Amino acid sequence: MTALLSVRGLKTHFPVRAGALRRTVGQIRAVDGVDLDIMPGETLGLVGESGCGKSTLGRSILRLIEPTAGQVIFDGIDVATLDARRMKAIRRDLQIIFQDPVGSLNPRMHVGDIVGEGLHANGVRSRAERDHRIKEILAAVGLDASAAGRFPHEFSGGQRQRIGIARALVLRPKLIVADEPVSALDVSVQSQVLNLLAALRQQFSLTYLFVAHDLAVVDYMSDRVAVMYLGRVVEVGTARQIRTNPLHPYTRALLSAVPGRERQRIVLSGEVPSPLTPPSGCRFRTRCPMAQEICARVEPALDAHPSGARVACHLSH
Amino acid sequence: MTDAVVDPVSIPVPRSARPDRLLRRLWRHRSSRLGLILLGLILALVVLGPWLTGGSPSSDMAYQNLAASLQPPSAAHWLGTDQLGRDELVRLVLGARYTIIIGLGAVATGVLVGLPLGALSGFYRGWVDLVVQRLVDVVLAFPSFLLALALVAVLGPGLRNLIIGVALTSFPRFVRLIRAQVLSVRERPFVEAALALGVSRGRILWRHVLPNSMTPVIVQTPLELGSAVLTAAGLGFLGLGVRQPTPEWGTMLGESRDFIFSNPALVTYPGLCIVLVILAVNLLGDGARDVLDPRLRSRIKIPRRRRT
Repeated sequence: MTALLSVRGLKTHFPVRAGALRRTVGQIRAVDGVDLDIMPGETLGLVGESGCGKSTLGRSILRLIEPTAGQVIFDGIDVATLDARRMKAIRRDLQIIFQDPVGSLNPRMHVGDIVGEGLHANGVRSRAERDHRIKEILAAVGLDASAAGRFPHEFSGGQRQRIGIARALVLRPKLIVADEPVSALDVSVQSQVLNLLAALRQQFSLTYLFVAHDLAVVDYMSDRVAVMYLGRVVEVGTARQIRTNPLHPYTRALLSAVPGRERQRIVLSGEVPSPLTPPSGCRFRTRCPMAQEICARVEPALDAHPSGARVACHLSH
Repeated sequence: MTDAVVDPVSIPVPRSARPDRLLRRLWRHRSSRLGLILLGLILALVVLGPWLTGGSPSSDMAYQNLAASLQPPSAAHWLGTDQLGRDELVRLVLGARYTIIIGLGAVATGVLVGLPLGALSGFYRGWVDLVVQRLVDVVLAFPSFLLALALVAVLGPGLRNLIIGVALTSFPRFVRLIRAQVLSVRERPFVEAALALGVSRGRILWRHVLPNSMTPVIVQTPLELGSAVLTAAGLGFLGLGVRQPTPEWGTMLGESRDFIFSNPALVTYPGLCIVLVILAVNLLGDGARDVLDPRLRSRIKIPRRRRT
């Protein structure tokens, strides 16, 4: 089976400018050489600490942030270098759900207009047809049809997130990047939204790139999980493998930090290094309890492990 | 507890700027209601002025009659007559329309020029921003009254030139105001969401960014109206306003300054009228700010809790 989305060597760097002449004095390497494959119908979870580049990666795939280098092959087409007109045509297949259920909805637009805007932008000019499809999709996300005539502020956080999901879904996309879709919600509402996302995946045969920092949430939602550290993927495996047999020392440290587990806690020393000047060799070596001399010299590739996972560590092979 | 006091707990709810609701909310606000009433009276003078005074500015009462100059108030001339024997009250009533036309004209021109420039400047950034902002810098580098004065001196007096001169001093403030708003609104997540849906840039500016950038403009407009009226009156005072014998308040003020000691009432009336207009628009502006931006309000005044 060929992947629906293949990311190859994706880099997104942000220039750092300083001085009166705004000269570029450095690059923040938010995403620095990421390879990923997402199969049709699967949910790939993406975890990592704040600032590791997970959200930037999701946005770079959608070209909401222009990637610096690399390929994003979606459905056989490299969207990273597509011109604006053809990119617009791809957008209906490639959608995003945002973290912030308040900020991501225009407070001055009716819910119906928010949900229907994608239809309008993609050539559905008939008012009647838009209304019909808006109603249909609102029902699918569990909102009453009367919601269309109301403003976002009249809804609760969970309901607003449903509006955001409806907006992404109304174009019947193939892939949805869910950027921390539940981390701004109350715990009691989180599970409802997660179950909705899971049900919609079945109903609309969706594929998710599920970005989150909550390991329990990612584990619950994902078929496979990718772990990011400082702009790179350090480990990819099935959700079960990551949970029960993490291979990369960073993944292990991350898992040991989940409360209520009976394993020994691994406390990492120091801070995440600056993405402005990442360490040589393996990026994790400055905090890795197992670091060797080779780690400083050679950058480990994301190689296949006998267990079927892929891991970027010299010591795990 | 009156309706006028907005409960600070309801702050996060986005305020609608739809005109009908805005007017109703302004009416409920104590100071902007006073502003609305004052402005309503002045607008009534503008519309009904010629009818109330029995004709055009060249009618009998407004026409000069040197035999009856500088008369004290009487049954025939309620506020007396000026140095040329013209009825002061008639001239004040007729003058309202010039002051309001100049003020509204200048502010409308300022918004019409400033709003698109500022919006494009903030939304597209790059060279558009650079060009517009340097233009604004140049205009703002001059003292604004001096600039209006110079422009009217070059173009010559008259209603249209006065409006252009005053508008020139107010449009840069609208450019700056709307640009700052647009710069912040364009970074909000719903703009990113629209981009992801493939919505065009122009439509994003029109449907998403502008509607969410208008509040400060709505608040600023009445205040700008006040400063436009003042600038216009200043130009009139200096003899650069509308041509004689048009009864514009600033011009009237300028003409009567020779009689400031012998007949101080003649300076007082037009001055008072100008003050009233400016008071009205400032009350309205303050009310609009309270109503549309409750965060500012709660910092200024904490409503007392009086529950029954």
